[in-house]
Amino acid sequence: MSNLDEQLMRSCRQGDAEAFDRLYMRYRGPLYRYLLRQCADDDQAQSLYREIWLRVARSRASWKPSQAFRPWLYRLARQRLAGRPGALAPSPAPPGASLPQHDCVARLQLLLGQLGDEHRELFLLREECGLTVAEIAEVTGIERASVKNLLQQTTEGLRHGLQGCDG
Amino acid sequence: MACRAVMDNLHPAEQDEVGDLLLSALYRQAADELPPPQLDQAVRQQARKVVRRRNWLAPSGLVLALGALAVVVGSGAFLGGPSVQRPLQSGKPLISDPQGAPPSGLEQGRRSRVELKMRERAGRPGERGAQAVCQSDLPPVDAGAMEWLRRIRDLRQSGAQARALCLQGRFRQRFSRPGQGTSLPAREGDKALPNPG
Repeated sequence: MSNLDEQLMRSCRQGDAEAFDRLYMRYRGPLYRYLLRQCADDDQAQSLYREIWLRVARSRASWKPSQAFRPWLYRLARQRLAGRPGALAPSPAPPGASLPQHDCVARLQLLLGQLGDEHRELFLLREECGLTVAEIAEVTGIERASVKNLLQQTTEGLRHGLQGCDG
Repeated sequence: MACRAVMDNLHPAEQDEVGDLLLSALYRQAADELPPPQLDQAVRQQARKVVRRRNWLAPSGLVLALGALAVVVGSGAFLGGPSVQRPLQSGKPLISDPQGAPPSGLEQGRRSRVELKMRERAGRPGERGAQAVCQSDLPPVDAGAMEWLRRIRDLRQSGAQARALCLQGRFRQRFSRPGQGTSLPAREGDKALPNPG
């Protein structure tokens, strides 16, 4: 998702609304789900989603053409999330909740809800937003090695919880 | 079941890798939510409006803004500002400040810089160069105020700022009327000028 993003963003800076539309279409799903999985409810996620896109439009001049667009977008999203007290409180899944044995997708969603904030965020940044370890480190300000460790712990935990879903 | 059998035959590191891939694939199945259509439409409309607005801080906008500023300055809109010149030969000001106050150290420095600039632009370093600039291109003594103004503006437009400044000083000396200050009228005020010629 790189290079084209930067080209579109460059056009966007010149006032090209079509370029903005294309960027929007590329990131609407991933950004929406990134917020949805980290907010207390849908309303909060939707309000943040709107704020973030407007912020992208307004602060397009502060984006530098040498900068990758994707980490810039998620850094911005992360800042808005952090600036919202109580935003980082996804619908809690009770620790002892019974996991659906046959619906692996529902099981995964439940397991994600049980993760700690940091583990869940890193997992989403990688799986949902498609960021590399280096980009996640850049966006979150966590050391690369720590990002790697935390991601490993998270995937191991999830895989363990999903045993029986791989066959 | 077939997958389980394959997994069991893999090296532990490979099992981890395949496990991660399976987890990603499963997450893809779980991740199908999209923003509701009304939200989608509202966000796009609002953001498009913002994007279309010209951004004056963006490189293209900045060039336009600077261009506009250059046109304003070049058009002589500042022609009526207070004189910062001093005669280069006698050491006396061509025109005194309207208030008659002696120039401050800062003002002196500014005047020196103007003089220096005039000399640089004349392409002839030194006092004599600046004098030559001041003495050349002067309209005849009996020429009218309009003729002087026209010459000053022509010089400004052609970029010969040193000569224009010099002429401006001479103009003030010649045409300013006692008790009426020394400010040079702006372009629109030309008609109101007395024409002694």
